Amino acid sequence: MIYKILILTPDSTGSTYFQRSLTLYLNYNNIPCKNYTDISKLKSLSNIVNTLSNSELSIIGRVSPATTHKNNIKDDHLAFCNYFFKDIFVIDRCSFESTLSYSIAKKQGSNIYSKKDYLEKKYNNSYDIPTDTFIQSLKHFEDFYVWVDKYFPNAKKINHSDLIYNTENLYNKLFDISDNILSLKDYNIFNMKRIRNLDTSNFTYNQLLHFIDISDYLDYLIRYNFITTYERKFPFKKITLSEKIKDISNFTELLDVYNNYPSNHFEKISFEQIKNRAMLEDTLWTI
Amino acid sequence: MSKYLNKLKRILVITPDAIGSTYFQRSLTVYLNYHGHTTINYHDLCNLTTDLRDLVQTLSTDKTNIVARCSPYRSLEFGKDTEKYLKFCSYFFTDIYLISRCSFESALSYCNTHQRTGVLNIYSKEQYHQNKNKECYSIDKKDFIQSLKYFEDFYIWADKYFPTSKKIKHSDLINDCDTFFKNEFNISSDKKLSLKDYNIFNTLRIRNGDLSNYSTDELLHFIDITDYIDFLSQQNLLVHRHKFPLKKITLSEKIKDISNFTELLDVYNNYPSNHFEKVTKKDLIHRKKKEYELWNI
Repeated sequence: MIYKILILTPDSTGSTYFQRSLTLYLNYNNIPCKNYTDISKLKSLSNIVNTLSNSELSIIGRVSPATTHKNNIKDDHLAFCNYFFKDIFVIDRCSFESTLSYSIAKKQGSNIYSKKDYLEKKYNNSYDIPTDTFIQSLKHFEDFYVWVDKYFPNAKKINHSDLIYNTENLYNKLFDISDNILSLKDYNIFNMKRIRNLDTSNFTYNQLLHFIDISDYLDYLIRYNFITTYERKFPFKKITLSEKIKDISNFTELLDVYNNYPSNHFEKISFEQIKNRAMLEDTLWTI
Repeated sequence: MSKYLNKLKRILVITPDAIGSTYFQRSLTVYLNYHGHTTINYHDLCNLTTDLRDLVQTLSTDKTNIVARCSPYRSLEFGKDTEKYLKFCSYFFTDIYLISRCSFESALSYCNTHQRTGVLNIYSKEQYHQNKNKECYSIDKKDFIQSLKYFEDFYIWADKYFPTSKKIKHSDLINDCDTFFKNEFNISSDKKLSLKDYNIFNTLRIRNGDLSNYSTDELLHFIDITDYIDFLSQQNLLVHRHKFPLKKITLSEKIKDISNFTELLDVYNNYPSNHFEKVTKKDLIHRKKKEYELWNI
């Protein structure tokens, strides 16, 4: 069985985590799979068609309006992707949260891949996000959803919280694998705590050994080109919702801006709902 | 030349391969960075460029410490500038090392790579299991003699172009690289790294050896070292796809698996060379015992 999986992304919706964790998951479950990161890096249509069509491995790729524009990817490229990929996904994440993440990423880069990377990039004090930056980011997301509707009308939605907090169950269902022992959720939670110097004493000895083996297996995937972004291994949780609420000094102002932004694609959300979501998230990360 | 350069460490290892030079470069890069000395590992300088002017320009303006290697076969990539390239290396690098390892063992490792697995180093458990020798094998005598000639040629090359290079004992590098690096490069930091323990742990781990002696604190420390190596890779300070080499074959595995081991030892001891030290089977048994004490396998 060869899977052809495409993720559509405006960035800041969890798509990097989706690609890397799924590449790890499928290979670990004996389904050889290559993560091409962004398909637009293959440039010409003929190269895209040849590379992907001749692959004997399952394929994971992404396309986004920003990189297609940058790499001069035309409508026929996108039409080919829509035809070629059998599983096309969009991550369904609260646009307010995504926009916050995206606005922060503009300043400090999008993902973190190690403890030192985290400690160097994290904010040590409160900060604000300029309103005009935030509005530009909202437009970026709105444009993305319009782009998806136009080029990939049949894309399937993946719930962001399923992806982050129930990764394996989600993948087990999507790819019909029942005997999976990877524990990506635990790996994710462990690393989230580890890079923040939080207590990790509730992880068992065997779990730690298993995490060492996962990290080692990721190195193997990089070594043999199953993951093509050599310098970046596996993304860790950069900022939780609680951390955003605590640290973004103009958080409520931005929430008002979001709720008043004219769009058919953004769901309104109250501060109460956000607080509840943050509490739920903290329980899941067990901070 | 830049005023910064005298304060910077410019470290070159000259190598024929199969003597521990990859481990030397990567462990030293991790060690120096970890102790606050930003250091870039260029691996082989030919990977940077084979245009000598570019190379001189890049290295001379580099404001970080440098670890690199130079080898006879790859230096030929500089074509007509090969001699000039070697002279430049000899002049530019302040610390030039040659790893002193038993040539018999190196020649066996070299043959194992070139006749069998094709893989010089391994970097993960999966890669180890794919490339390990699963049954006894013999090394072709003719190929072994060619390898000896290859090593002999290397030592002649080293004498000619790098006559003042310092020798590092392979056992010092493997048995306790942290202490060796600390003394060699005057590192005063007391931060705990322990690459030696990291190395032993990984050697056992990839072979599914007994890890029950390790504490959870030690495992957490090893996780942090791997994470730090990932960080260096992300910062382009280490080679991306080949981050940190793990022990591929121990001496006892060679003795156990190479069916014509004793015959090759005779060939080695009878090879006419001023560069190869004679070694007896008894020496090797003693060395194997020492190795067991280190790796516990």
